[in-house]
Amino acid sequence: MSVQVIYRLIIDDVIRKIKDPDMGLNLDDNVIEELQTMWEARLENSGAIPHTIGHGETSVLNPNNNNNNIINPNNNNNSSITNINSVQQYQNLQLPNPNNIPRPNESELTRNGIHPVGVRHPSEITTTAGRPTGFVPTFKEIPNNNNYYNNLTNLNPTSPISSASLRSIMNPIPQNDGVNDEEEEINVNSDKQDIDKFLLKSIKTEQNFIVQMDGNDDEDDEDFEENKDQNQDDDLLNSDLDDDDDDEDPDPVIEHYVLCQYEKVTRIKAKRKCVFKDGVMHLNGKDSLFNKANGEFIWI
Amino acid sequence: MSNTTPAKQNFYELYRRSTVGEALTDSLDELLQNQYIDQNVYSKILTQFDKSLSEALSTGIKTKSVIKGKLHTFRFCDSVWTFIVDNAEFKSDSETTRVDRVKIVACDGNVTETPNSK
Repeated sequence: MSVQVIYRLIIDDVIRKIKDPDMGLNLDDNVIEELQTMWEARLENSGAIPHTIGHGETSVLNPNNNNNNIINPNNNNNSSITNINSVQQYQNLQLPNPNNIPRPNESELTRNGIHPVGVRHPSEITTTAGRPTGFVPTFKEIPNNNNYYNNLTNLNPTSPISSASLRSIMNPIPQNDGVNDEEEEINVNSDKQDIDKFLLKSIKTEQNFIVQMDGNDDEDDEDFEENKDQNQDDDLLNSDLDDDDDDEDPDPVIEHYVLCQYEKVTRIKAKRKCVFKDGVMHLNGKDSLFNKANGEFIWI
Repeated sequence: MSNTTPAKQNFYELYRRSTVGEALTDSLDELLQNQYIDQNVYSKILTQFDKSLSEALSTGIKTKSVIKGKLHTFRFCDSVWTFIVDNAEFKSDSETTRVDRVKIVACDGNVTETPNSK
């Protein structure tokens, strides 16, 4: 017999037993009819059975829903607030429906200086988050912009070069990060050789021109790895504080299942042989039944 | 899964998790919520369902199947075997079905006496 026939037999048997006075339930026929209709409708809607097992009689509780007995069980329940009825009542109350509220024109809002939360036109974004601020380092002697490029191309041996201007020569990119650079009391004559000497001296002493205020000091390559590891350890994101999620849920939700009874389960090395009976299978969204089944599973 | 204890036979509540069982359970839940039935009626109907389905499966079906696959997980607790099988293949008389992972829950089918309810 097919699944459809078996389920039909089950439903009829249950309903018949419910109606039996010996069972002592004392239920109204209306309630029993309603239960059967709802049961069949849900079974139909599940899609596990390809063919309908429809209930021929109309629901007594809802004589007007003759055509909807099988389609939606909620239609057949007259007393409870069904999904459809509740929606109709909701609409009739004329409560403010979020869907009816017209979306304000963003241009109108912006004209009034109002921006919807979380909605900003890209052109209206004026924040400078993430962008370098317009920090202008203060120098004791602010280099003359007119002479800035002149200093690069033509070192005037006669004019004294301050530390700031010297730094601007060596580091033409203006510094916008961190605090002011340390200013060295360097009084370098305008002689080119002196500048070279200064450069050599700074290289030898590994003097940092820019005081690094962002993060750890940069180290040599040998030290860098050590610091890198240390930084990783200090980084809370990668610390052991994070909870280790279980790799697998002990009872995962699996789409396909078999409900049955076992008669025998044996094992030979890594192979298990099982004998099942009276099984209900739900595979690929469809139900199937078996009286006997043999299982061979290899555990690797 | 507990054993119901009518006079002579055991009927597992196992099958309430099937499609037909959940359809009945959901329907009964709705009736119970709307107070058309009480908890006693609810339990009795489900017990009757357990019995009807077990009898239908044992007498109304003659299908035999073969299940093969790689055993991912096995568990035996309270006389219930649970297998999670990967790459399972189900062969019956008419067709072959393959799924990537299936969960098999099997209660003891050798119990004939009425155990003490827990």
